[in-house]
Amino acid sequence: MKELITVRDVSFQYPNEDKEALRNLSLSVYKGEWLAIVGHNGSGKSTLTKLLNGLLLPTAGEISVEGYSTAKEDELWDVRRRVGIVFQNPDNQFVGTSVRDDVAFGLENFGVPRDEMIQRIEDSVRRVNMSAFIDAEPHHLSGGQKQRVAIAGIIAQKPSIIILDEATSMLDPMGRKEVIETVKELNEKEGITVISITHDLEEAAKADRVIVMMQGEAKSQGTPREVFQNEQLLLEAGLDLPFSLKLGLALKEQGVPLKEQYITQEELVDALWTLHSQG
Amino acid sequence: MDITLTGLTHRYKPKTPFERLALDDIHLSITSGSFLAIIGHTGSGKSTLIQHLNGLLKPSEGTMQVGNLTLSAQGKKQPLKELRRRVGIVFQYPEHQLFDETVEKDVMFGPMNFGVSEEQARQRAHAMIELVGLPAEVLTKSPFDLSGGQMRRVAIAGVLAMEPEVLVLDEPTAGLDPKGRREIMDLFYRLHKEKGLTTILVTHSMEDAAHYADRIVVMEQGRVYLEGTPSEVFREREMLQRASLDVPETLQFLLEWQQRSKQALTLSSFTIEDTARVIAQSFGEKGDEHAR
Repeated sequence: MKELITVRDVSFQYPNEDKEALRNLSLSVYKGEWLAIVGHNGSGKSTLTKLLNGLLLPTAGEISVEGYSTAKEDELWDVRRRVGIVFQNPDNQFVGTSVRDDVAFGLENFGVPRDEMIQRIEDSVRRVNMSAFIDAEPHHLSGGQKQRVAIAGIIAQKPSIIILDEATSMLDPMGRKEVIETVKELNEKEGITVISITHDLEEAAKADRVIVMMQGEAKSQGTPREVFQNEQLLLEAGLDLPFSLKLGLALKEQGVPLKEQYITQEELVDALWTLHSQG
Repeated sequence: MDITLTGLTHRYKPKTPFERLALDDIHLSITSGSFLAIIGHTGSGKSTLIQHLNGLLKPSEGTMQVGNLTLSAQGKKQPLKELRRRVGIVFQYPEHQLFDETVEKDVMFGPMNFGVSEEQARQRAHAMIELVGLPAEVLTKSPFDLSGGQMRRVAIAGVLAMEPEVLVLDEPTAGLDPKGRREIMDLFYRLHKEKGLTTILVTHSMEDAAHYADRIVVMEQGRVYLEGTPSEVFREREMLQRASLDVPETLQFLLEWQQRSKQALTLSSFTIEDTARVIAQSFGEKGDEHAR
């Protein structure tokens, strides 16, 4: 798989802090994957996000995005065009007075010609299923809808990577679902690479790959199945086990002879059904 | 402290083209010492409702009674100060409201505002910082030098220092990691029990509502849409889904299993252990049939 982002031996220290927020971090992000980054508050997840599109620069090491380095000033805009970030608070990133204006804002900044801009706005608003709201004002939108507009603003710039920085943590369950489904569709149909910084382990369980951050270091990397096997590490990292793993353990305690660990609810129901039919 | 809402209605920007009915004829009794969860999607009226509880908003119609204090639409002299002493609200992201030079001063601000002496306020600050699980060293630090999770605890200590009898929590764990969530919720539950507080929790987590609450109120379009014990409310899955909500994940899983295994199963509590027990039983019963 093609490597889109390379983070090599990166450390970062905020001014006036005596400890590094990130220490010797190395990781790769591959084209088309859904990468979940999980970890406790203060583990360095959000710092990493800001480093990935050059809002912060490493104190040591290097980050490159499709060959462009965040440390080179003349390459920074090439990096930013490729990496779009959806932040946590839907109200803090809506700058326009309507959906259309909000999506236009980013394109204006990149100097896209007017005719093409109109086309791209309509196209990206459609791709997040918000066409019916294209002239709506922000206060008429729900949190989930605002986040989808933020995503439209990003995909209008044709990025290769979308970072969700706890983008669903302020939403109600329905809003959370609609945002994840929207991004999932972009990921699957259009091959946009997704990095999701999240505390939602159910969501992480469905990722292609998971990285566990702890005190500024990447403690574990792998498929959800590999990573979630290490219960001890997850608890140490301030996390928890996904629901179906916890239920699976409780079922075994009750004497249900499950053989493996099941990461998703579908897998667990299937395994139970197999056992049940054999019994 | 008993709380009674009678025909409580709230209109934003009344008599303007922007008038909006946010609460529509709410009738609700909250028993002293009980734990109530309020659930509902964004914009369903939850926040408007809790802002009445300590008089940040006044009813447009109807009344609200907290103990012997009454807040009404017409009342000229509303007992706001006393109401705010009794009802403490922990807002969403309460750490954004920290402002003072040191943690100690920040926590002391609330009680002193209500006429508590400096010495007493200091004592309370020290006690509350310990209660929320922070080391005494943080008292002399600037709140802004602390981590996000620690700042959240300082803000909570500030509300507790006013010694409220009713504690209103507006998504108190939003943005925290799973461990932090559990610690903060366990802290509130312990306080609820130890101090006999009346606790009102606004949450998007059906799991927390099921786990901590004695009763649940579901809000939808400014009205009380459903009300009852967790088992009563979560029996109404279709109604919840119509209000953009759902049942806790334990029950979701059980329903999935019920459909697959064609067995009628019931869940009386919503813990993982109980769910496992009920599912394990469905295996056991099957085994019994074979034995017969």
